[in-house]
Amino acid sequence: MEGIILGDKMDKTEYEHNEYDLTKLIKEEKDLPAGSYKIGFKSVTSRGYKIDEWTGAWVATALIYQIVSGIVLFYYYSQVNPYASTQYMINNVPFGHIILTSHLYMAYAMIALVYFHMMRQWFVGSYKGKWRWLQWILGVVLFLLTILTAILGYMLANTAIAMAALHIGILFMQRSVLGRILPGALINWIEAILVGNYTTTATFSHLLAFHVAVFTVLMLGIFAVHFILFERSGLASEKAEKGKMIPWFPTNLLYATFSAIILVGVIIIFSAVFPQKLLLAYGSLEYGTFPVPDWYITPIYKLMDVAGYGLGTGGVPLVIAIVIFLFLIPFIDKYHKKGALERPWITAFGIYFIMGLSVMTVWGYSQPGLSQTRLLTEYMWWAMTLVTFLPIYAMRFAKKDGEEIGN
Amino acid sequence: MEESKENIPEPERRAFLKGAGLSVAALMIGGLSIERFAVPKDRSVPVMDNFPLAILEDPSGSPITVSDVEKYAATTTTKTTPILVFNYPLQDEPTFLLALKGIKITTPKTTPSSGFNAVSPGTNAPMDGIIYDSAHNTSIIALSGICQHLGCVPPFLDYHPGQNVPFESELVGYKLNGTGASKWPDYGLVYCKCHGSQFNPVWGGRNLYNNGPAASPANHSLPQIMLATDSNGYIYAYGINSSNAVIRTHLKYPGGETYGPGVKSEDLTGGTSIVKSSRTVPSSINYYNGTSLTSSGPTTLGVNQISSSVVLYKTTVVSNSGAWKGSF
Repeated sequence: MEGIILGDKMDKTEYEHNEYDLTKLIKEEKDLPAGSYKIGFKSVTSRGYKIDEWTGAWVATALIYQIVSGIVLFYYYSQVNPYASTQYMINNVPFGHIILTSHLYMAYAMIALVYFHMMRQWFVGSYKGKWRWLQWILGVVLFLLTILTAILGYMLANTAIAMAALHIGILFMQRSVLGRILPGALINWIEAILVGNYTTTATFSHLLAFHVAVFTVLMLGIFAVHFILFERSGLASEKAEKGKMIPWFPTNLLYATFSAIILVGVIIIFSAVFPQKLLLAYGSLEYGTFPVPDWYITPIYKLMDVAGYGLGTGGVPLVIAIVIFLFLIPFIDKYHKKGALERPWITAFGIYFIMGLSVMTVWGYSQPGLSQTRLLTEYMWWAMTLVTFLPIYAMRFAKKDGEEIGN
Repeated sequence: MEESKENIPEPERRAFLKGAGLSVAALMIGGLSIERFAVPKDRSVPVMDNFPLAILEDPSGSPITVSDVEKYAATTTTKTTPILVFNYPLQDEPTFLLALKGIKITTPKTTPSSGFNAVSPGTNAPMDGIIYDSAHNTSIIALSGICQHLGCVPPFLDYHPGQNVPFESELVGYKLNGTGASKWPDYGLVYCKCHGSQFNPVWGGRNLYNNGPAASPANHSLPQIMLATDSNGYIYAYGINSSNAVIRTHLKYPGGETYGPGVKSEDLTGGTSIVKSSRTVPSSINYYNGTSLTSSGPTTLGVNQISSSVVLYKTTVVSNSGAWKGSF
């Protein structure tokens, strides 16, 4: 964020205009024959080599690591015997426990990094100008795919909690907005895609195909476009400056490689020190187990409890509204000036989003599935609104005041 | 380099459009076959015609008897009791087997509308489909272990006896030896930790417990599975109480019948059949039909039949502790 507030030092304090004519992507190629399209790796100035400019590279690293470790795990996974084959990986495959754990932890890291990446662009406003609006929309699609792929992966081990999630998911589709609006046959079709005829083997074959192939390929494809658009639009926070550009090869490549190695290294160290414990198998009867899902699911889980107006009418439309809002931010944000404080409503919504997410995650972890009273819910939302909007307008006021004194 | 798409010769463009159009049409026709691919042929085909007649066995394969189950009976002073679960009507469909000592579960005249007290044992006949042992004043009832709210199963859906108030229930206001709205029922509740649904087993088939401090999110009672015995004291499951809810996953969708006689003919699709038993079908079994203990051959019970004869299936009762420890 600092870079943006200091962005005043750059020539322009205003955003570039959005470019909606996608054919211009091709027309830009000046020194190539007509219709050609070049994928370029841009050089940047030394300002580009900063942590907050590198969030996307880490997410990409995580994606590549997940594919590589996932292929290794795929050799040993059996959809006929999901839980036993997972146990086999842990106990009998050389380094199996570390690989499986690192696959889990990198998924956690990937989701956390996706959030980090998204919130950084949110506060900077780098979804504005050129094709960055399209890049943002594809980014939201990638975000949803990441979460869905993670949930599918979490179901693959056939643990009790995973099967609870699957059953809830299916009944939810039937009973929430989806099932009520869409015709029954369509829901039946969507269910069939997810679980087939509902036998163990069919269910896990379907989940596996979606986890390792369908969603992953979609993610890779969309990521490619997302990345090409980034190379085309360039860094949002700087303009090319003659004589100051650092060549992509080898500097950028080395920087990317080293930061990737550090991320992978950290994850592998964590996996070795804190190996994952396989949760209770489906069908086990160990009582006193608390149904706590993985942390990236708890916010949604808790949101259903605190929506206060019932699942179908409160929770589900709320989640859909949040997703639509995410998609539309580039068009909702009408501010022209750069800087987080110059875009107070958007920044406040961003902080609200982060706070809501953290509160829901922690609350969901400590009291999953406990319906909350409407009054408590209202208190919480209004308190959060106050906490987000008030300081931002106060800071904005202070900044303007300071500038006036400065003048 | 001023060559742009305007300079592409017209016939070539037309050929391209033709090709593209044909490809899209071919894809659309081909896409129709995906429907067949994605929806397996056996998806909406019932695994069996009707609910099966199944003998309850222990993990070693010998039939369990009424007196075996009574060893696990809960009373009003019980703090913990091993939970017994068996799969019925299909595999991966857990059902609770609960034994409650000191109470005769009778058909409630209406759905209990007020009160947090157990329905007091009346002079009525024991409820349909339970096993009542008058010598020990013990009722054995089987309730589906699939929560009617969003499908959570044991151990997340769990029976807590009268002296065992789970932490999650305390959070919504229940207290041990509480009074009024905070009273935990004498025989406890089947409590779902996923979203807090509550079911009172003493209420038999109409067990949805909505009157507690926190309203239950479920819409329906836990379906009651019918039980019967034979002269050896073996226990059989033979169907579903049709005055009560259907197991949610067997609700014909859309337009299935949630309550009433239609419940018995809801579809048994989506899953794997339980295993056939090599034992002979009992010539007659004893069951409560709402007025008295009746004895008849299983053919009259409307259980699943193959080539017009009743086939005996088996299902294993497992527990979280004790001799029957295992997974369902």
